[in-house]
Amino acid sequence: MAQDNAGTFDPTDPHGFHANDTHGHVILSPFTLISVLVALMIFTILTVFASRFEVWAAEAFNMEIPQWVNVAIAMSIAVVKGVLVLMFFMQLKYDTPLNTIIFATCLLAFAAFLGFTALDLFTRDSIDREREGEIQAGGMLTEHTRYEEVFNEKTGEWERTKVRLGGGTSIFDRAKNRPRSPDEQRVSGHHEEAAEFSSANRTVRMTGLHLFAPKDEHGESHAGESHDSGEEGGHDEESGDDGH
Amino acid sequence: MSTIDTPKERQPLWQRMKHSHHFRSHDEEFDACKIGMWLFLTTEVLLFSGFFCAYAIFRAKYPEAFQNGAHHLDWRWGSLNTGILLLSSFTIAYSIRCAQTNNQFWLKFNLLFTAFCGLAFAGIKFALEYGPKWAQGKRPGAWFDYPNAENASEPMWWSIYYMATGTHLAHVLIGTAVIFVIWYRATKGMYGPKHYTGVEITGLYWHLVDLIWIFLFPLLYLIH
Repeated sequence: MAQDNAGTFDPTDPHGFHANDTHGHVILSPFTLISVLVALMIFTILTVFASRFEVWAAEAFNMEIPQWVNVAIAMSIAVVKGVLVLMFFMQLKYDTPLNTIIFATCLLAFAAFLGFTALDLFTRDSIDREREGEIQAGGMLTEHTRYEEVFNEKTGEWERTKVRLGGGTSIFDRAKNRPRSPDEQRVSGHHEEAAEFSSANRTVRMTGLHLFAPKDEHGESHAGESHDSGEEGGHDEESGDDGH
Repeated sequence: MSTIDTPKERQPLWQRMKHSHHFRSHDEEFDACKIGMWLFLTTEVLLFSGFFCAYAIFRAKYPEAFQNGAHHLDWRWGSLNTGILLLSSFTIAYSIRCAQTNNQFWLKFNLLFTAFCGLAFAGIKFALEYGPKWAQGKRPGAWFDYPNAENASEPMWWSIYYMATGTHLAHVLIGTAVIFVIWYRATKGMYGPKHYTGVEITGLYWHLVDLIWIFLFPLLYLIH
């Protein structure tokens, strides 16, 4: 090892650059390793608890915590956990600074990538008015119009004409309206899902099978006739709305 | 050194390992390998940065779909998998210590334990998350077939979910396979205080897999 040669002339290392190289050979104590593991576990419990607390607060007290708080807490904890892993498990704290510089440069590239891609997110309407606000359900293209130059043979001139794009059935609509066998309906887990659907930001009453019941060729909904008929009668009016 | 008196063929393998001829010493080889691994890890981070970028932008543009989507994921399985990965990260860090202190039994034990943690992660992912979701029609993009979706952009949420976690899962499986190889080499006595480069850089890779999951877990399961 390099240390053995300290003090004597080493023809492969005439200037002694590597004579006392011991970096990268730190032996971490069990105490350090276990402490880091415990800290990581505690932070995991903390971030899960924060997220659950938000749901619980919304359900129990109808208290809506803004979404950015949720995002800020979750991401701060993730960053702390990430730094712990990088510093101790990946030993950047004890390593040559070059490895840290390599990794930091990569994060800088990531920040530039994310930043410049997201640059126009909230200013898209400054050029195209129709891009204002949120993207419409089903995508903007379903209702999108654009202008094309079309040659009019009668007048012998080029004219601007409106062309409608898209407007076909979306994947969403197809999934919603596809007829399903009772077996498939069971697998889709309509009733299992019901409980999952209330959240901090909104509460949704799942109408499940009744809302998107398969229809026959006359367009009539068969809600309530399937295997789980005779549940709460409140669903009937919704299936009636949907059928026509 | 007492090992000088021992005949070469009776020394453990890690003492007989030679560094490549183009390196000056074991140390130099070790440092070069480590820098190479770090450079590779940066490319991995940039690979996943694509998913993080897509997630951020689509989340900003389709907040409803992402909120609905997050509610379909069970935070309990996500938390369990996070715990498994953190524990495995600890055991592989410990296995490096064991190699440095020539603790051969615990070196092998920790490596094997880490590999089985990787398998457990993949098992939970396939059997309890991907399987039931795929059967219910919660599939990415064009395969989407879930009748109870409320937002027309939910197929895209599932695309992001499957691509991000799927790519991460591929890394877990590759890492697990590599750790099994390292464990097999450890059973042959290849790693010890003088030579543990393989354990070290495999550990770095595994920690990166853990690091990516540390960010994927709150983004997909916890934020709603």
